This record gives sequence, C-alpha cells and structure tokens, in this order.
Amino acid sequence: MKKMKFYLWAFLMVFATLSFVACSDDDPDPGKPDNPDKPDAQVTTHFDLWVSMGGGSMTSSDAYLVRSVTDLTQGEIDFINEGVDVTELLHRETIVKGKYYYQIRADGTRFGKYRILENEIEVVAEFPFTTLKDRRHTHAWLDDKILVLIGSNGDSSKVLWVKVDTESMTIIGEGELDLPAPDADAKETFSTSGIAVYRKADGMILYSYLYNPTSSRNHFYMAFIDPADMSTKKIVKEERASFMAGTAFGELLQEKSFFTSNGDYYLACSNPLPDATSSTQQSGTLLRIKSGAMEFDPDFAIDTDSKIVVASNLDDSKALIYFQDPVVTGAPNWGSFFNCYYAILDLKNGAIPQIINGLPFCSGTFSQRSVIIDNKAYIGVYPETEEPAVYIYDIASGNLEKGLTIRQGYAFERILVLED
Amino acid sequence: MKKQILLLVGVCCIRTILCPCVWLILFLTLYPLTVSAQQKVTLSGEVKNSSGEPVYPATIALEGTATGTYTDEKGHYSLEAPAGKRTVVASSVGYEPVKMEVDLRNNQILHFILKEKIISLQGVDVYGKTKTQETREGVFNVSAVDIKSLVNTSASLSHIVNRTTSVRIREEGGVGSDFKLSINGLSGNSVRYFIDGVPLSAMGGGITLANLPTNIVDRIEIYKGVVPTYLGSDALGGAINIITKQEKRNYLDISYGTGSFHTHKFDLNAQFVDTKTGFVVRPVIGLNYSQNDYTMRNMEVWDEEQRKYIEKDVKRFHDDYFSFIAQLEAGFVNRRWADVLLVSATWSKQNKEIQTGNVQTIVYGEARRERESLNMSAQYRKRDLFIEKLDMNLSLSHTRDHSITIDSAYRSYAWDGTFTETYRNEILKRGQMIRNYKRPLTVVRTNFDYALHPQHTFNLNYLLNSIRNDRWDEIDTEFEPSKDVLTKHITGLSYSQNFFDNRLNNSFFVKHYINRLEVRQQDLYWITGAREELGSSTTHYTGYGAGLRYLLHDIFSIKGSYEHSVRLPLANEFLGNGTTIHPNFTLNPENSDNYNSGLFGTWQPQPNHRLYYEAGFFVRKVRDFIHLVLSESDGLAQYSNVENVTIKGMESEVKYEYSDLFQLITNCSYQDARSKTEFYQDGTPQITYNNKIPNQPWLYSNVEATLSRHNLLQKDTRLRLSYYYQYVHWFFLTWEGYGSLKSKATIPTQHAHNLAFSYSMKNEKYNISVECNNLTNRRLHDNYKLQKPGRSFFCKFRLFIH
Repeated sequence: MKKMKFYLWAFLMVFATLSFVACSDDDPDPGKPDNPDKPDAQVTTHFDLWVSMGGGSMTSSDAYLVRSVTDLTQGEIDFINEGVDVTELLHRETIVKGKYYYQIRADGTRFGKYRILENEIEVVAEFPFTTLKDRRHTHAWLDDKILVLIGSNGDSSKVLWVKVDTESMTIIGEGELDLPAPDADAKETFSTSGIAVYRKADGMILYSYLYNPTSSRNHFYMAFIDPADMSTKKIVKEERASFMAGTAFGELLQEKSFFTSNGDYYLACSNPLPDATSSTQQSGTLLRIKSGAMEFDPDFAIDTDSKIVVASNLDDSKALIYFQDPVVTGAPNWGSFFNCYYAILDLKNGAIPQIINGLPFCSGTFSQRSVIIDNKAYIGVYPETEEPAVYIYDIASGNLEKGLTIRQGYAFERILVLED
Repeated sequence: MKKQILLLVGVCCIRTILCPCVWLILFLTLYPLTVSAQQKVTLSGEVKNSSGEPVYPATIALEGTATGTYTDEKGHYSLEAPAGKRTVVASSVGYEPVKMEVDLRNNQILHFILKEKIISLQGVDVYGKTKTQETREGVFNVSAVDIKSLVNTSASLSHIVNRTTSVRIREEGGVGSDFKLSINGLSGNSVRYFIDGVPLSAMGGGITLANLPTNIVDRIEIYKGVVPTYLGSDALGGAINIITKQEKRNYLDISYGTGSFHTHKFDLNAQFVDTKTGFVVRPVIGLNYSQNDYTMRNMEVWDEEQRKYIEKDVKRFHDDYFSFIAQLEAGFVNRRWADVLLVSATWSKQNKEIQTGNVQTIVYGEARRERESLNMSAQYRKRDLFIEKLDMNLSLSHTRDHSITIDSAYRSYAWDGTFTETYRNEILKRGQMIRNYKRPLTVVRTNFDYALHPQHTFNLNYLLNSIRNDRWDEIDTEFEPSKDVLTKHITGLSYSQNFFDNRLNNSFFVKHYINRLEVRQQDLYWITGAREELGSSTTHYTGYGAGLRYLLHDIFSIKGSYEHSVRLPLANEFLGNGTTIHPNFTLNPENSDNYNSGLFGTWQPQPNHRLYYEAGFFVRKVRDFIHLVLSESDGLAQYSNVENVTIKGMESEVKYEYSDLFQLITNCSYQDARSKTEFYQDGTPQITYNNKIPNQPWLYSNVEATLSRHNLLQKDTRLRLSYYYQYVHWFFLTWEGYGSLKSKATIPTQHAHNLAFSYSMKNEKYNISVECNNLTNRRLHDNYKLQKPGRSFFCKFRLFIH
C-alpha cells in the first residue's frame, strides 16, 4: 500500500512539474535520414511528383509534398521523412521553366523564383507583387526569360498584364489590355484569367477570354495581342463552343491547349450539357487556329461527349486527353470520384477518342499527372483500388507499361519535368 | 551578524522549499495514523445578519483546522466535526467574524448572527473549501478559477483562463485579437461559452472572454468533455460558464488601467439595493482600447535599392482595437413572489483594425471590422415554486447584432507602413466590399431544479436558440443578399444522487437536440449545397452521459464521467462569414464520446500548510469533425464533416498554500490527438490515419507563485506579488514525419514569464497594480508566424467602495 502511495505521489509530482524538465527548445527529432535518391549528374532532367495528404484534420489545409525522381519506369516512393513539404510557401498551381518554379507564392504577396532541392526549397529571388491574384492568372513565355502574366483586376472589370524578366526578376512592363469593357448594366465581368499562349510563328500572344456571368456563357473570344506593346490587333468571337476549358486558373495547373510542331494551335473548350443540373456537366470541343492565322479554323472542330479536363499534344497527329464523364466510367454521377479517364484523340479525322486500355479510371479533376517526352507519355493515375502509379505509354507502338508507384495513402496531384 | 542573517535567510529558504517535501514524506509515513477512527458529530444551523437575512456565502470553520463549510443560499450549514472542545468561527465578506466555543459531544445546532463590517477576503479563504474548490470536486471534470483575487490585475478573463489545466488559448496578436480556446485539445466551435448559464453570445456577438469586465465576475467554471444539463449546451469538447458576482449590498467597483502599446482599460460595476423593497439597479461599463503598436521583429521589408527583402524590426501600424460594453440591469430581489426578477439592456460596440492575414507576410493597412449589438433580456428566479424544493430559473433574451467588414481599399501595404496602389481589395483580393451581417438572436432558457429527497435531485433545462442571418453588401453588386434562419432546441434532463453523507455522488443525464434550418441563399450553390437543402429541414439528435464521484477521504477522492456529446453546427459554419468562408448547408453535427477519470485530494498536515492536487486522464472520440477545408474550385474555405479524431491525454495540477502568505500552483497538460480518418472522401486510404494531428499544442504547462502579505506597511493593507510562467512545447505546422525535416515548418517553443504586483489599502478600497508581461521579451507565437507582443507594462487603479 505504501508503495502504491509512493508511486502515486511520485507520478503526480513528476507530471505536474514536467515543465521544469521540458523547458528546453528541443530541436525537432531528426528522424530518418533525408532522401538518399540523389539525381544522377548525367541526367539533364528530372521529374517532380506532387502529392497532397491528410485532408488536414483540425488544421487549415492539406499538406503538399514534392519528391524529385529521375526515373519514372520503376520503383515505389514514399514521403516519410523524404521529399519537401512545400505547404508553407508554394502553390501546386505554378509556372515551370528550366530549373525553376515561378509563381505568386502561397501568401499572395510576392512573385518568386524557386527551386525545389533534395530536401528544401531554395528561394532564388522574390519581389513584391500584388497586381494579380495568386493562382488566378494565365501566362505566356515570350522567350526563355520574358514571361507575360495576364489576369483580371479585383472586380474583374479590366484585364491586366505584367511582363517579367525572369533572369533579373524585375517587372519590365505592365498595363491593361485594350479589350471591350464588360457590360456593367448586365453585371458582366471578365473571366478571372483566360488562357494565354505565345505563338512563335508570327510573334503574337493568343489570349482567349470571355465575359461572365456563367448563365450567359455561350460564346467566347480570342484576342490577338502584339507583345511588343501589348496592343490588341484583332478579336474574334467563337460560338462553336461555350467557353474555354479553363477560365479561372489559366494553365498554371493543367494544360488546356497546345501547339503542334507546324505551329497550329489547339484549344480545349467546353459546352454545358443541355439538361445539366450542375455546372460540372459538360461536353468537350477541340478547336484549332492554324499557324499564323488570325481566326479559328472554321473547318475544324472535334466534339467529344465527355468533358475535356486536360489536353496535351502527343505526336502532332494525336492528342492525349484526360476526360471526365460518368457515362464512360460508370460513376454514379458527374460529381463522383473516379470519374476520369485517359484517351487518345485523333486530330486528323476527329474520330471517337480511343480509351487507353489498361489505365484505370481516376479521381482528380484538378490535377495534371501526364508529361510527354521522347515519344513516350508518362501518365499518372490515381485509381480506386490500387496504389497511385505512373504508366509509360509508347506513342509509336501503343504499348503500355506500369512504372513507378506511390505508396497508397497520398493523393497524386501532379508530374512536372525540370532541368537538373 | 551578516553571516547570521544570511544563514537565517538560507535556512528559511530551505525550509520554505523543503516544507512541502517534508510534509509529503511525513504524509506517506503517518497517513495510516491520521485516518484512524475518531468520533464525529454533525454541527448545523443558520447564519443571519442583524436584519435577519440569511448570509450567503458564509464560512463556518473550526479554528485551527482545515474543517469548514459554507452556508447555502438560505444561510443553512451543516458540518461534520470531530468531537471535543472546539472554537467555531462564522465569517463572511463584509461582516465581523463571530467565534463561539462549543463542546461537541452529540449532533448540535448552532446559529450565528453576523454584524456588518468590512473584512479582508483572505481571512475567509483560508478556511474550508471555497465555492471554486467545491466546483472542482464535483462529479464532472471541471476546473474553476476564482476571479475575485485577480480582479486588481489587468489580466483579461481569457488570459486568466489560459493558465488553467488543459486549457490553451491561441491568440493571433495583442489586445482584441482573434483567439481560439481549446479544452483537452478540442477547440474553436467545440467549446461553448455561458454567463450564469445563458449563452454568452446573447449579450452580443462581439463580447468574449477578452473584453468582458473582470470585476463583474466571481469565478469561471471550465467543464471538460462532460457538460451539465443546466448549461443547455451542445458543446462537443466542453463549456465555459462565467459566474457573476451576487453581492447583497451596495457597492461601487471602478477601475482604470493603462499600459504599453497605448492600451487603456476602464471598468465600472456598481449595485444599489433598497433592502426594504428589494429594488436593485446594477450598471456595468467596460471599455478596452489599444493601438497594439508593438514591435514585430525581423520582418521582411522590400529594399528597392538592393532589390531584395531585408529584415527589420517594425511597429504594427493598423491594429487599433476598441471595445465598449454598457449594461443596465434593474429589478427586484428577495421578494416573496420572486427571488430574482431582473430586466437588462446591454449595448456593445467593437471596432477592430485588421493588421495581418493568416501569416505575418500578409499586411493590411485599411481593412477593418465593426460590430454593434443591442440586447434586451429578462430573468426570473424563484425557489419553492408552487411546491417545496422546486426551483425555477427563466430567462428571455433578444439580441440585435450587426457586423460589418470593410475592405474597400485598393492598396497593398508593407510592414514599413508604405503602400502601393493596386487593383484589388486587401483581404479577398477582389473588388471593393462593405459586407453587412445582421444576425438577430433569440435565446429562451428555462431551468427547473427539484429535490425529491435530499439524496435525489432532478434538473430539467430547455434552451431555444434562434438566429437569423441577413446579409448584404453596400458596394459589391455581385454579392447576393439573403436571409436564412437557424433554430436550435436543446432539452436536458438530469438525475443526481448522493449517498453516504454526500461522499458518493452520481449523476445521469440525457439531452435532446432539434436543429431547424431555413435556407434562402442560392449563390455558389455548387459549393454550399444550397439546392440540396433548399427550403427548411428539421433534424433530431440525442446525447447522454453520467458522472460519479466518491470521496474516500479529504486527501484522496476519485471521479469519472462520460458523455456522448453532439455539437450542432454554428450559424457561421452553416452560413459562412461572407468573406473567406462559404456556407455549407449539408453539414452534419459533430459527435463525440468523451471519457474522464481523475483523482484529487487536499492534505493539510498543519493549520498553515495545505496541499491540493488533482490528476486526470481523458479520451475524446470525435466523429464527423467539422473542419474548415479549402475549396478546390475557388481557393476559399468551407466547413465540412471530414474527419474522425481521437484525443487521449492527461492533466495534473498541484497547489500548495502556506497560510495566506504563499501559494504555488503548477499544472501540466499533455494530449495525443490522432487522426482516425481511415479513408479520403473518395474511399482511398489516408496515409495519415492514426497520425498525430498537426498544428496544435500538445504539451504545455503553467507555474504560478504568489506571495501575499497583510498589513505590511499599514493596517488593512494587502500586498500581492505574483509570478506566472507558461511553457508551450513546439509543434509542427503540417503532418509530422512526412517530408524531410529541413522542409518542415514548426511553431516554436514558448516560454512566457509575467510578473504582477498589487497593493490594496483600506480593506481593498484603494488598489493599485503594476504588471510586466513577457518579462524576458522573447518572441512568442501561438500560431505560425504570427508574433505576439514583446515585453509590456501595465498599471491599474481600482476603487472599491461598499
């Protein structure tokens, strides 16, 4: 009994005075060693894999982690004590060029140039930036160092542009696009970002945009802008599709348009389904502007029953499309999970897209898990019953092989290619 | 001589330090002897004043012992005492103590009549158990904080509560800043606030623990996990009940304090009672103002010449806070037809400039919030209503609450106070907005207590809480005005037993919740779920629980309690905040199984030494946790039922008192909160299942040492010197163990040291206090990269006439 009492009192005293022995600013537990997968010096590029995790129970948001790998064809990766936790600083909606990430960082106060290293983020340069909203803008590279950012102002009554020299990290110009103003009486506003690309063929910025509100979306516009003075040379109205496939985030996260090697420009578009009960329910249309042309090709439009989420150029004659459609996936409804699939669309004959056999249906309508390099498409999947994985699709032969896998439990969000 | 003095001082210090240890050892060895059987008798009677009115609370104590008790509201007392010759002392604040010699052989009745006279509070506190301690030793897991002894200091109620076991307040900045209070790891909306059993929000939406005048408060009860039915609560993690002073005589309590960062604080609390008619008037005024212009250290400021950010110490420049509360209460007390019949009007106003966003790199220079509330309420209390032992407490309240968020400047500010013109407002980075919310709130509370038998009592409580949400924007033409209504009916019934001369107490209760929602807003329906819940809907939920306490001996008692609690979503969780949080009309209530067990005791080896301890273990199993999640589609946030969480933890407190000269309190809280969400919403496994929840403190401790001296320089004076230390262990911002350690953001360890000195003269008629907070001027963070104030000084004067 005495012993019991002694232990009881000892416990109470020790616990109650724990503060006295626990007052040091302990360093975090070093845990396991950092990522040992050092990039091979011989390899000139690597892949950054972005995952989110957790759902952030009792916290403010998900955590985002990034791991760099040189080979997507094999192995399994995990993020326990490995990779970089970028939650504090970076958005997954980002611009990538060469070795660097460029973006208005997560707190929305600065535009920065960053590198994700083995186990940390290197802040290369930053400057104050509030002209555009973080994540809500589009971009176009004029060359290897001049970047044009375009987005609407706070009340979306104007479309603003900013030119950034990414070498010196300075703003070299900014202003407002001379687009016809929205009809204030009809409570019209510009779309948040639109989609901008730079066409080398004639040195023109192609900027597609529309006027909100959503209810009146049955056409959109393409502006041809001279990057020298950012003046609008021509605007064309397009009514064969209701709007571009991305109006809010540009192409910071997902590819919505692409050029073929001959300079033709393809733009993914959407149309609300006739009996739609939610804004998600859409069919797709792929439109084209021929190289150097100042209008959409009136003879080209490929309509798809499914909604186009991502569109990438596979080999100039075919496009890799990430579609959303419960009719194809068998999902209960449009908002269901695992409601997306990959397919190949023939740009020549516009035939029904061919679903890539062997790839599981995926979740994630805000993700870009595919990159195309050296005649191969690396296609990431986030399936229901298996672990997230990367499949390698050989464009020439049509062969499909399963490559790298990610331990189940992480939400696979993005693959990016960067120079070492 | 010098050596002798030093030796003497040294010996005294060693004695002071060793005393508790020596007594502890003696306790362990001599305990069996101290509990040997001794004949006990019951002493009972009444305590009245010279007018024949019951004195409540009055202390009845056996002089020179720890044995004592308090009178009830009728002035009755009952005390179990060892037989023999004793000196019984009856005392109460404002009365001359009365001593009577008695020879206790059998049960005896002894009445006291007290003469009015101002006496020291401390003279009372040393005997028996205070109301605060009685509350702590109740069936449920509850901490009670005595505010009376702290009213001379300038500490707000939130800061006082923050020193309590298992309570943690995370502040975003200085005076008036937003804060989040957690009890046993459950925070924010999981905790409900009450004042005298009525929801605090009924006083006005802007009234919080941070700005409520301290001099109207007697004590604060903090219920952890299990909440009694009389609070009419749907709290998931606990509740805080503020008990106001219930003086019977006239008084005026007025104070003014000023301090660093241009802080001013004024409180007035008074009472006029006409004892013949029972008419009573109580005015209350509370004012807080601060510029909060404290230094932010190592802030990154852009240097155009160097074209890079450089670190500078800068002062906050847009963080003014103003809060004003005025209340007038009038009515009758102690009448045949009513023990209490009071009506009151409360007007409050808060203006708050907004300096930063979620992290301190986001700087605002124009955005601000304004809030104004007007409350009308009535309260009726009657004992022995219709039949004996049936007590009723009825309150009605209606509040008009109007809040405005003004974010109309197209400017981007930097920490040096400079700005650039930009194209969007500061907070939302959209168009200009002046967003208005009118949320009229009606609260009806009916509480019945019935003592069927001295050992069997019942409590029935009904609470109606109806809030409407009228919103519009003065500038933003795209913002759609709407009116939504949320009504809650909460009914609770409890049955309590006590046996073995009140040594064994049980309580069983059941609560029923009805939630009725009328949705009219339609904007962003694909995010809010408004179309799925259009119109009105009514849902029912049930909660239940029980508690047990057994007093084995004064020095060792045990208790345990359990509640299946339900928390109905709050209006702002359903309806959003109109700026950064969207509504979600498909929210389900959170529910939790809360388990508490604990032991406590008081040991008084000698008249002047007293040791109180308590230790507890708790488990919270929360399902459908309502959690703010970022919306993929537009980057804004929305509350959703997404998580299951289990929290296990332990807490302890030890309090040592040496007479009324010295008091040392230390407490420590540890909690292990883990995600129990096995799958994402898409059904795939979550890697974080069973992982520690990030971004919340899990180990923290407080130490409080107080030295008091009476009549130090002159008669009827009191000197009080207090030292407070708070320790919070560092924690990760995001999930621990994922990503390289170098890339993980952490919230660093906090060591906060505060000193307070107060001096009272003429039996607390005149009081002055001087305080220093964050004595060592350390950089303190409760939240990631949100600096709290550095070293600060405050001085307060208080006049208390009665």
